[in-house]
Amino acid sequence: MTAPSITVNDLGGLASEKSPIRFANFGGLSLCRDVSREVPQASTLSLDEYSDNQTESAGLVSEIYNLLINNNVDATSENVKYQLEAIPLFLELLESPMLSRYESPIVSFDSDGEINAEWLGSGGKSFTFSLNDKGRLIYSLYTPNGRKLFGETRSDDDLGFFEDFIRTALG
Amino acid sequence: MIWDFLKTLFARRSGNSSSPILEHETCRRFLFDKKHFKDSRVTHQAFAVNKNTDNVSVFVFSRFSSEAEYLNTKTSVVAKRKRDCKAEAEFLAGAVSDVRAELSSFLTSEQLVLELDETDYYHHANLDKWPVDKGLQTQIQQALAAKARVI
Repeated sequence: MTAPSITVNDLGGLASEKSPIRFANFGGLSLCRDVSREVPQASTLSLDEYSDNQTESAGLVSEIYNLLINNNVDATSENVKYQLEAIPLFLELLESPMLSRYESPIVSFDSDGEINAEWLGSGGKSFTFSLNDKGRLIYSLYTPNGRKLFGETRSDDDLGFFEDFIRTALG
Repeated sequence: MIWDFLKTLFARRSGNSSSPILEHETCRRFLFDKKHFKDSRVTHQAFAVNKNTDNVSVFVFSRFSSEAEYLNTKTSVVAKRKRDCKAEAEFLAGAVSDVRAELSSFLTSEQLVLELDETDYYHHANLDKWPVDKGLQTQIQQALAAKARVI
């Protein structure tokens, strides 16, 4: 099955039309969750108004949505294709009991469209993973004076070792 | 346009472009995305490899003759990118050698180099010859970010 993807040009078109927010059916992808509780006035807010009203405390879904609208849209990266099917998997992962106990990571999109989470600690320590729409995870732990490792796994594998990596990065 | 071409040609003939970047020289990367830093810390995404060019663009800040010259270049880059520059990541050129040493078991001798590329701008350089492996790329980005500070 071919993963649905949209280009930033598509997003620009959406934004310029001031479309109402429709998380549940965005770009042909069902996110399978009710976001109306997380995005106030979701049925009436235009994209521009929504972007203007973003705050630090916005939920994960709305943060991802904001990234899709505003991130990577510049003259040098017009062909970014976001891997939208990765988003529900990503949300499921971050909201699992294992990962939700830690501080929220920095969420962004890689230039290849994969969605990324990064826990940034002090002294240059960090742990990050990228998820693609096939459920493949690329992870990397870096500590300046200690562990330096990276690898590949799958979102449906046992990811218990991620806890150790996050603790190492934040510790 | 002709004037710019002649300036570049003259710079190359006079050898400016070929002078190697020394370890103690200060480099800066423009950060166009607020996700590329948090507080005073730089995130690995700040050193994300450009999908179109396969490199990471930086400026050798210490080679600019004045703050005004640097700001003129920055203004020109910002206009070209059509995005605001949110911050800058500053690091010593020697950080690249440090990263190569840290990850020497994964990198070949030809990979990850900092080279001048003054085709479009004076004192511009690229972090080039990145490995293809995404995990290794990420590790390098994290290592560089750890050695950079937000300006």
